[in-house]
Order: sequence, then C-alpha cells, then structure tokens
Amino acid sequence: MKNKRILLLVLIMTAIAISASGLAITMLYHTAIEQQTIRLTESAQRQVRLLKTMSLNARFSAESSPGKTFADSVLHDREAHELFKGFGNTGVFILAKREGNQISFIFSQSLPDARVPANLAPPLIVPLTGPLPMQQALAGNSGSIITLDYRDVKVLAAFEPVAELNLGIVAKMDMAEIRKPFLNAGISVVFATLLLVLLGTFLVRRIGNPLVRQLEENEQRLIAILDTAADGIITTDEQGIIRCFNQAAEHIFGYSSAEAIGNNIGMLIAEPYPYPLPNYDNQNKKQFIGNESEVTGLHKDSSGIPLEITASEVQEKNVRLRTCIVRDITERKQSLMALHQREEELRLIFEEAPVGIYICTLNGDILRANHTFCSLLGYTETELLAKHYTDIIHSGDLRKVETHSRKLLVCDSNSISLEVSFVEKQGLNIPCRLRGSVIHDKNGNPLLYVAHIEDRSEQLKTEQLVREHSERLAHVTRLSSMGEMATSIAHEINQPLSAIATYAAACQRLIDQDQPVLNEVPLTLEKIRTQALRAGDVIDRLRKFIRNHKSSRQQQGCYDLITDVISFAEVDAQYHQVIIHKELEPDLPSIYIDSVQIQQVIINLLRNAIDSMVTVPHLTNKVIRLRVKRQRDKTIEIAVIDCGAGLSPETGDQLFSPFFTTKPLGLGMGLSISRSIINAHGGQLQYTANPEGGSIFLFTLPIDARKSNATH
Amino acid sequence: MQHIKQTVFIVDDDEAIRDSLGLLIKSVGFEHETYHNAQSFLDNYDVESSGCLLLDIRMPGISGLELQAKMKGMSLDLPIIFITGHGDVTMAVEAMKKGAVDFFQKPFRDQELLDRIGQVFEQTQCKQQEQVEHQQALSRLETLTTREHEVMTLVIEGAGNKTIAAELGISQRTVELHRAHVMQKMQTNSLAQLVKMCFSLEECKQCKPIH
Repeated sequence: MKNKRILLLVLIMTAIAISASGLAITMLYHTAIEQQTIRLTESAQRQVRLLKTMSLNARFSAESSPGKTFADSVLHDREAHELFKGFGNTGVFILAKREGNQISFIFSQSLPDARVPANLAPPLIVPLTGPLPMQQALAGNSGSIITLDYRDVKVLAAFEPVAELNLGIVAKMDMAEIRKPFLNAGISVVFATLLLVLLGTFLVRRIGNPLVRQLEENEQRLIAILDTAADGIITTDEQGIIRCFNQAAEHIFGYSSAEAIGNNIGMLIAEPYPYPLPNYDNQNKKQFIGNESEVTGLHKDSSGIPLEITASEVQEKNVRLRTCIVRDITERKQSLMALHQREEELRLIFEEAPVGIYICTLNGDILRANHTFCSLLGYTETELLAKHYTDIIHSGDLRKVETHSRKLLVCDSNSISLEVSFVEKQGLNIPCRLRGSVIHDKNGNPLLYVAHIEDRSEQLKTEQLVREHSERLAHVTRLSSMGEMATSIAHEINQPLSAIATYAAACQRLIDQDQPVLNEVPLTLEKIRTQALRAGDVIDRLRKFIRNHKSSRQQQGCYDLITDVISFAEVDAQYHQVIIHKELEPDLPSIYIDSVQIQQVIINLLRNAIDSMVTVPHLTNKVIRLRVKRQRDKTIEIAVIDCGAGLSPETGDQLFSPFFTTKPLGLGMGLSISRSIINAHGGQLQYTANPEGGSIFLFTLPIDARKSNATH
Repeated sequence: MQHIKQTVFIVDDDEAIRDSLGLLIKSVGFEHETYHNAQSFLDNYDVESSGCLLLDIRMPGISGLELQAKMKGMSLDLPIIFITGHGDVTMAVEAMKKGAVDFFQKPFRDQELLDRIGQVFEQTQCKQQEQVEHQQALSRLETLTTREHEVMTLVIEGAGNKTIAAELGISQRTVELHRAHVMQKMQTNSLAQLVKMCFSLEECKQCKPIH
C-alpha cells in the first residue's frame, strides 16, 4: 500500500518534471523558429536589396559600357553566392525568374548542380501559381512560411519578390535542422529526470523509511497506551466530534470505537454537562478544561454512569483537539456513599452513645465531645470544646490520669480504665469510670486520645446500698450463728468463772484456817486474774464478732487470722468434743481482707463441720482439718476438711442457695453469705466430697502482690 | 475403826478447773491427783486406791460418760461426782442413772462439793469396813467343814437341833458339837450375829461376785 503510494508519487513527479521540461523545450523551439524566420526574412530582403542595387548598376553600366548586361550582374551575384556557404547545413537561397506563366530558377544553392553555370544548366520550369514559396514571391508576396518544398521536405522559408526584375528570392532552411538540438535536449532532459527520480526514490527509501518506521512505532505505542489505559480517553475536535475512542472508553460507554468515532461527544454525556456545546465561552471553558469535573455519562443502554472527566485542549495547526480522560466512578461513588453512611452511623453512635465520649489532642485540648458527655458536665458543646482536659478532671485525679495516659502512649496496651472524678459546670464532682484509648496514624504514631466516660454515681450508690445490705445480712447471720453457738460460748465463759470461784473458795479456806497457809495465796490470786481475763477475752471476741461493723479491709497475716478464728471456733469444737487440727504451711503471706468477714466464713465452715460430725453416732476420732496453703504465689487456699456425715449429691447442688439448710434450726444463710463474702474478696468457695468420708469446703483468697510479704 | 487412804481424782481437760479444784481439795486436807484426760487417768489409776472421781462430762477424746462406762466395764468401783457445764443436764441425768454419785453444775458452791466428797469418803470408809468384815466372814466360812456348813445353813433357816439332826440323819449331840464349832469358827457369840453375817455374805454373792 505504502509502496504503491510512493510509486504513484514518483510517477506523478516524473510526469510533472518531464512535462515541465517538454514545455520549456517546446517554447524554446518556437522561439528558435521565429528567430530563424526573422533571419531568413532578413537574408531574403538583403538579397532583394542587393539584386536591386545590382540591377541599377547594370543599367548605369549599360549606358557607359554596353557590354555589360544585367545577366552578367546576376552571374556575379551567382558567383558571389557560390562562395557563400549559406547558413546552417541546409539553409539556401533560391533565385528565380518569371517567364511567362513559368518560373525559371536562376540558381539555387540547394541544387546538386549549383556549381554549373546557369546558362549551361537546363532551367527548371515550374508553374507560376502554387504553394511553393517561390510561387508566393513571384506572385508579389513577401513573408515566411513553413511548408513542404519540391523535395517534400518540411522547410522554413522566407520569400521576397523583386518586382522590377520579375525575380523572386527565397531563403529556406530545413525544419529538421532547427528541430534537431531541441529533440536532443528533450531526450537528455527525460533521461536526466528519470535518473534524478530514481536517485530520489532510492534516497527516500534509504533515509525516509527509518523515520516512517519510527513514526509508525510511535503511533502503535500511542495506540497501545490508549487501549491499555485504565481511563477512557476520547479525543474530539472543536465541534465535539469524536476522533479517538479507546478500549476503556468502549468498556465504560458500551459503544465500540467504530460506533463512537464520527459522532458528537454529546451522545455520551447526560445533561447538564456543558462540554459538547460548540460555542462555549472562555469562562465556561475554564471551568472544566484541565479541571476534574463530575458528570453523568450515558451508556449505550441509556443508563447513567457517574463519571469524572478531565478535559484538555491541544492546538494542532489549525485544529483544536480536545482530549477527555473519562473515569467511571461508580465504585468510588458507592464506596463514598458507604463511607458517608458509615460516617453517619459512627456520628450517631458517637452522639447517641449512653456513655460520654470525648476526643482530645495529645496536649489535652478537647476536640470533640458527644451530647451525653456535654449534658453530664452541664456544658454546651461549644463551651466544652474550649476546655482543656485539666479543666474538667478533679485536680486530685490529674496525676493519675497523666500517668495512665503516658502508659497508653508508651506501652502497647490498647486501653486504660480508671476511676476519675469529673468536675461539672457547677463545680460538683461526678465519680466516673474513664476508659481511654489512643488513635494512631498509619505509621503507628499516636494522634488523639479517645475517652469513654461512664457516670458511676448511680452505680456507686447502688453498690453502697448492696454493700450495706450484705453487711447487715452478714451481721444477722453472724448473730444467728452466735445464737447457735450460745451454749458453747456460755460454756467457754463458765469455765474460767468456775475456776475463779473455786480458786477464791480455796484461798478463803487457806486463810480461814486456824493456822493460815498463806504461801499459795498470791499465786492463786494471780491465777484468778488470769481466768478473769480469759473470760473477758471470750466476751471480747464475741462482741467483736457480732458487732455491726463497717466493712473494712486491711492487711492481715494468715497466722493471726487462723489463730484468732481457731481460738473462737474451738469453743464450739471443744464443747462438742471435736478437735480442730491446723495444717499451716510455713511462710504464709499476709492477705488484704476484711478479717471479721473471713472469720465468719471460716467459723461457719467449722461449725458446719462440727455439726456434721456430731450427727454421726459412735464417731471416735472427731477431727476437723483446717488446711492453709499457698497456691502458685497467687492465692491462699483454705480448706475445712471433716470426716462427718458428708452430703448427698442432691444436697451438694443447692448447698449455696439461700434458705437452704439441713439443720433443724438453721437459717440457711450461712453458706450463701459465705460464698458472697468470698466472691467479694475475689476468691471462690467450693464444696467437694471427702474421699475418706465427710466433706471438704475449700475457698481461695487472692494474695495482693503489691502488699504481700511473708509473715512468720 | 481403821482409816483407809482416800484420794480425790480430778479429770478435766481445762487446766484452770483442774488446778483450782486441786487447790480447794488440798485446802481441806484431802489428797488429790489431777489428770487432763480420761486416758491418762486410766493409764495411771491404781485399782487398789480408793476415794472419788471428780469427772468433767465434756472432754475431747474419751468423754466423761464414756469413761464412766469404761470403768463399769472394768469393774472399777470408784464413786464418780460429775462436774458439768451449763446446760448439760440431760447428760448429767444419764450419768446419775448409770450410777454416778452426784453432779455439780459449774460454777458450783465449794462447800457443797466438799461436803459431798466428805460424804462419799465416809461411805467409802463404811463400805470399806463392811468389805473387810465381809472378807473376814468369808474366810471364816471357808474354814467350816461341809457338815458344819450344812448345820449352819439349817441353823440360819431357824431349824432346831432336833430338826437338824433328823434332817442330816445325825444325833442331836453331834449337831450341838458342830454348832459350837461353827460359832467358834465364825467368831460370833450370838445366833443373831451369825444370821446377819450370812445374810450379808448372801447379799453380796447376789450383787456381785467377790473374789
């Protein structure tokens, strides 16, 4: 295709070159003919003038010397001409005389016998009229003509008459001679042109082809880029007629490029996009040429497509081309919409959350606060946003908050939780639980704090109420168990009282004797005092145990706790002939507890154990084991192990339910309260059957790591 | 009358009670021994010794009541005065039914306890006296021949010599001779004394065997 075009081009160029040269040569040829004509005419006229002069001379000579005739003059002329080689190869003069109706040639250089004297040569006779130049000249005409002569050769001839002498002169020349150089020139031109054309073709092929190839490659590359571009690329002219339509555009609009090219871009765009209007003004142009703008496109199936268009304009010679880069933003729209929806959800969650939420910078300036938090503190949002977090947190809690916040930044912990008092607008403190976390940027650098605030006022009130109730209940239960222990306690007080009475009586007797024995009296009085104190101790312990005390926890050594509780429980145990056997590990730590409550639990368990052993008839070895040991440095485990009646499986299930009891006079609160006390201490109370018969009640108490230290 | 050595044995798990009782008893001049539990008392008790036992009802290990039962099983005839705590009346009653001498509820009046101990000691003294006499009678009885024993039995039943002679198929003279031997061997002057002695022996034989 391309080669054919080049060939055609070469042929046309060749033709043009040849025609141009031909034209030039032809013009030159005509000019040459004209010049020759003028020259021949002048030559002929010169001859005429010469002949006229000679004829005058002859007439004058005849008067002076009659020997001389005109014929002689002609002869002279002929001789003169014999020396004259004529012009060119074929140029000749011809002189003829009219004789009657015939023409008689006097001489002709062209005649083969021209050198023969005219008188000797037979005169050539031709009719007077005819087309020949001599005939014209003898007819009295002058001029020039291109005609065939008597040889039937095309000649250029000028003819002139010599009317006085009845003579005619013709100067003629063969046309072939005039034509010959031009013919040669023409042939040379043709050859030279062909040579140049061949050379040109060769050079075009040699130099032009790589350029063409490069252009082709560039174009292919451009096409490839256009077709693989993710965005639709549409090129239009100034009127909006589509010139280029890439694959992505086909994909977006559903038209093939063949369908699209040649149509107005308006068919791809739904209103109100102003782009396809051909006569847009400059201001309008600015709005979207070069800038991204969002429009609704039209798919082939007439559905709308959200598009983002970037248009640019290129001035290309006289044409302004516009390139539109079109991107289908359906997905982006959808994700934007989803994003928007999500944002709205988050906003609602944020605003309507039942807990207060605020966001502050790392410096502590509050950036956002939700409705709940504003109303909690009694500020409007605007007022709150002007605050620093130190303005709304109780000054006593600031250090704690700072410490924890720093921890949040430094450590990898996701959130912190702490009790903080906030100060509301009126200056009142609101006890709250603050849960803080940090928002990080992509690189993991902290950006903002987020704090969730839960108003704990109500909760604290409720907790307080619950605590008071459970304390009251525990107290009632203690009183109840003391009631059950009343006999044992009375017995325990009675013992020292009896001893005191007996000691006193003995002393009296020792003194009252006729010979008083006094040496034992002081010692006995001391014993009396000891026993009185012993009775007092029992009463003191009893009072401590049953008094309505406020729950208060403190550090308590395990040994002290167990010793205290055993001395109290043993009253009952001894009364029922039960031995309590202590099994205490060495180096038990101290624990952070409410001693009275824990003692209540232990006494309750011991009493249950005693009761279960008493009901077994003929039980010889009534021993309760009170085992205290440490469990993996985390908890203290206290077990009360009896070998009494044990519990049936059904009983075991409902053991810890309130008002459940196996005792005829029991309240059924003991284990229920015990369990809640232990749970409140962060431990667990469990029952298992003793494999050797009887029951094991076992509870754990956490060792507070910060405060634990071995007690000996 | 010969005085025998009497001791107050005190068994109580409460040291103060033990100690004060000891002092009280010592103050009136009685002997006493104290034990902190039933087992140590049993381990150390000399069967020959006499007196009374002041025993606490509630004790770990062997309780007062159990000790009482054990002693009965071992035929240890030691009078027991129980000392009970408050509200152990049921147990005290049971103890009395099983032969305890008395029970005192703590705190007790010292004079009452001491008087009771004194009474028990006297009773023991009498009993001891009787027992000695009884032993003597028994040993005397054993010196009798079979014929003499037969004659004595009939005499006590109130039979006359004649009847005895007829019963035994021997002469009245022989009966009289035997009778004289019996009176001599039994070291009695009167028939009434002999009858009393034999009754007491018979009574004891029914009550419990004496070895």
